[in-house]
Amino acid sequence: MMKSSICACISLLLVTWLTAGWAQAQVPAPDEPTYRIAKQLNCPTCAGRNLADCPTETCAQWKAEIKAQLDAGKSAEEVLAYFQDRFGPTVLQEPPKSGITAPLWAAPVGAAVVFLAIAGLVMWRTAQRGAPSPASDGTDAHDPFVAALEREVRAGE
Amino acid sequence: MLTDLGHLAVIFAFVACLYAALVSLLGAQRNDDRLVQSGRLAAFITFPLVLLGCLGLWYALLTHDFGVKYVANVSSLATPVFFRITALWGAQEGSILFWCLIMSAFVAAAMARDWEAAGDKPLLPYVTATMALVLGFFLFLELFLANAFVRSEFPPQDGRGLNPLLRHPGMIIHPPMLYAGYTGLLVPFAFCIASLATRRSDDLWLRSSRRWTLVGWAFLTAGLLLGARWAHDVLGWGGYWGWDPSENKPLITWLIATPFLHSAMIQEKRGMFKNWNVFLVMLTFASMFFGTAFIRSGLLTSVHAFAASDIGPVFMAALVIILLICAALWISRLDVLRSERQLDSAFSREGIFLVQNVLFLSTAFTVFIGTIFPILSEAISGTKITVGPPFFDQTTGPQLAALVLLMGVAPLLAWGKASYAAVGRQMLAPVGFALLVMVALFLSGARQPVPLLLFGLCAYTLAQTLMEYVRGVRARMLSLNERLPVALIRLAQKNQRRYGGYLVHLGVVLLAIGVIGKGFYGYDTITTPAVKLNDSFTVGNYTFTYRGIRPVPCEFNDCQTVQAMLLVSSASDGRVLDAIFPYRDHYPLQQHTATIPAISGSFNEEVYVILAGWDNNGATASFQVYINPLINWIWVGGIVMLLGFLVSFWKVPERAPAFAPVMRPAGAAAK
Repeated sequence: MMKSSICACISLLLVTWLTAGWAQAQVPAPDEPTYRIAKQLNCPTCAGRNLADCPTETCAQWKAEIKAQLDAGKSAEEVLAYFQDRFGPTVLQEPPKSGITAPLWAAPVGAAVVFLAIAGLVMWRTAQRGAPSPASDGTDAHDPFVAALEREVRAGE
Repeated sequence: MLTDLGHLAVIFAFVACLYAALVSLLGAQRNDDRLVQSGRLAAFITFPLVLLGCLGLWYALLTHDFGVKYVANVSSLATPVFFRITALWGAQEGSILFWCLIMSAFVAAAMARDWEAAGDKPLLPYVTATMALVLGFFLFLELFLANAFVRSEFPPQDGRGLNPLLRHPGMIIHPPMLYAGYTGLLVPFAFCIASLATRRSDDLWLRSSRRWTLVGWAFLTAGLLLGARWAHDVLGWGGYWGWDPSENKPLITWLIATPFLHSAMIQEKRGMFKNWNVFLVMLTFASMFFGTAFIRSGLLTSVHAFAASDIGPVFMAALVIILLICAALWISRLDVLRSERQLDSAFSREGIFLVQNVLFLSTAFTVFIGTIFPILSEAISGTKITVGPPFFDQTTGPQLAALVLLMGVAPLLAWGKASYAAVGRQMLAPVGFALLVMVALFLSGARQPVPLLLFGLCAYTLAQTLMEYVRGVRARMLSLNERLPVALIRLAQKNQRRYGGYLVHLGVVLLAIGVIGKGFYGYDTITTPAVKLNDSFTVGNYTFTYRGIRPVPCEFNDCQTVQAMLLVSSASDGRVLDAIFPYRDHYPLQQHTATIPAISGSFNEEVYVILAGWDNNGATASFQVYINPLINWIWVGGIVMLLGFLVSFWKVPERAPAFAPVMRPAGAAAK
């Protein structure tokens, strides 16, 4: 058992090694500051896309505005704050975690916690209740051949 | 003339639906098989009738019959034949008709099956009635609210032509796939309703409809992947998934259908979770219906567009009725849906399936809330808040990662009660492998902890899934003296569902590797200042040399195309690797500009370049460059997932020798 698993691991490792080249020496080109900021803003005309990826005329004006403000010495945060003040939180790609969009961020976490708690409760309650059913040996009872195989494999381990 | 005949056929199909539903229910009530069979036949003939309707519209599209408003809207004299055929689903009216065609094909297939042999004949009248009513609803929409056959009084000389964005193979196959995925899910829903209506406590409906769910699921998967590929190739933002509502809606349904495929196994094997499975099937159907309403009613754009549309309120009313019927049926049958057994231990296959189900649903809920939040915020506060990809990435990411982990643990757990020691022992080798992979990646330069951990997770699940094959193949090779390929094929043949399922898991892991690679290591930039003719710029490992722009003939003569040429060479040794031609199409008629990327690089690192703009006839130009590591793994993973579906779905007839080992006593096989 051990031998074949080692073989499988080594061959998989080789594949990973061969494909790992991409991780080497990646130095992104110097980021264009306007572009970086545009990436964090929603485009007013292309629905669902960020400002940097939208080729429309309005977007070009917005990008020019960002550039002008950067050239005037404003920081990236100040530029983002300017757009948020002017157009509200809807202009940001990432909705703020406070204010009107706070429930948006809370909902998924809340749902995951509540759902998992319910599942845990169901499991705990059913485990408390009633006699255990006939024990299973962990095999697929519907397929005698697979069952035999699995027993054999487990015996071999 | 033929077009009007098609219109008439669709009207007949609608009448046939109403008749089928009425007669089936009457037949069930009076226990009259002749009525039931009549209803079955009526439901069956909706398919040829709707097909006739589609043929009528196709005829109008092919003969440039611009008197039909729809034809003038989606095609023009310049539209080639192929796109005139696909224009059938190029806009609302035609696509509802096409949707009805695919749905009626599923109805006909369900009606044509051998109900006597399948042993579930008592379900027939209710299955017929459910399917006929749902199909009837969509035919109602087509006929009364979005009729594709309407003629205009003053036919234009030429049409407007097909939306340029839809002229991509991915976009042509994508809608039919999604429609097949959605409408295929009607079958398990109809069986489920029929089972509840007849107060059956067994899992007959589940067994009868499991394969149909799988078909729907596979089409949905294929549709999602093709949509992603289309977005990547055509939309020109470097990615493959933008968390757009029209993408999220099928994803939500997929996220609910997938746990059902797993929890159905619990009911089949252990007789548990019956009411849960009924709930999941209903939820799957409701999500499909809601999603369709959402996209088709204009709710997508704004609350006001929804209120103004004809279809929206009708859709919502139907959804409320469906939900009420489902809830009433479900609650009134809770007594017959009791589990036959108790859960022995949380540490068991069924326990981990429950956790998996819950995680899938909370992920679906996350996508749902992010998708409808703009509308909620508009309705409550008056401002429409846009929810961009960062929200979805941050909230679904951890949940999806947990699901990948579960995929690597669940197969080890036995039904009933699993032993910690046995599971731990089987995890050793894959965990070791994952650690090796993480060390290898660390040494080759990947230093961010989160992606490193995620790659380790993928490596673990990949190894664990492969081990499932290794164990089975090895057992066969030893006990039956089979050679490796024979053992592998026979193993999969003996339990196609299981090994097909593991193949799907493998595909998911490969896909996850692609998502992580692109998500954490992908980057993009724009050339500033604009590049001068014959100048070079470097991004990452690549140097690009700008060689000018030129106008080129547009593919279908209805646009102006400007193409740029760039030489790509290696940044380290200057070797020329490729010449690429990103271009822009401008469609004056539709006032639309499409930026079509040029793609280069290697399998593991895609280079994706967009022509962002130019000045002075190309004296200078600017480009957006995306480096997308591992993105191709997404497509490979998707193909593996679909292969896995084929393995688990395709019934391979077993040849006689394959039965022999089963006759052997279990002890004799062991060495």
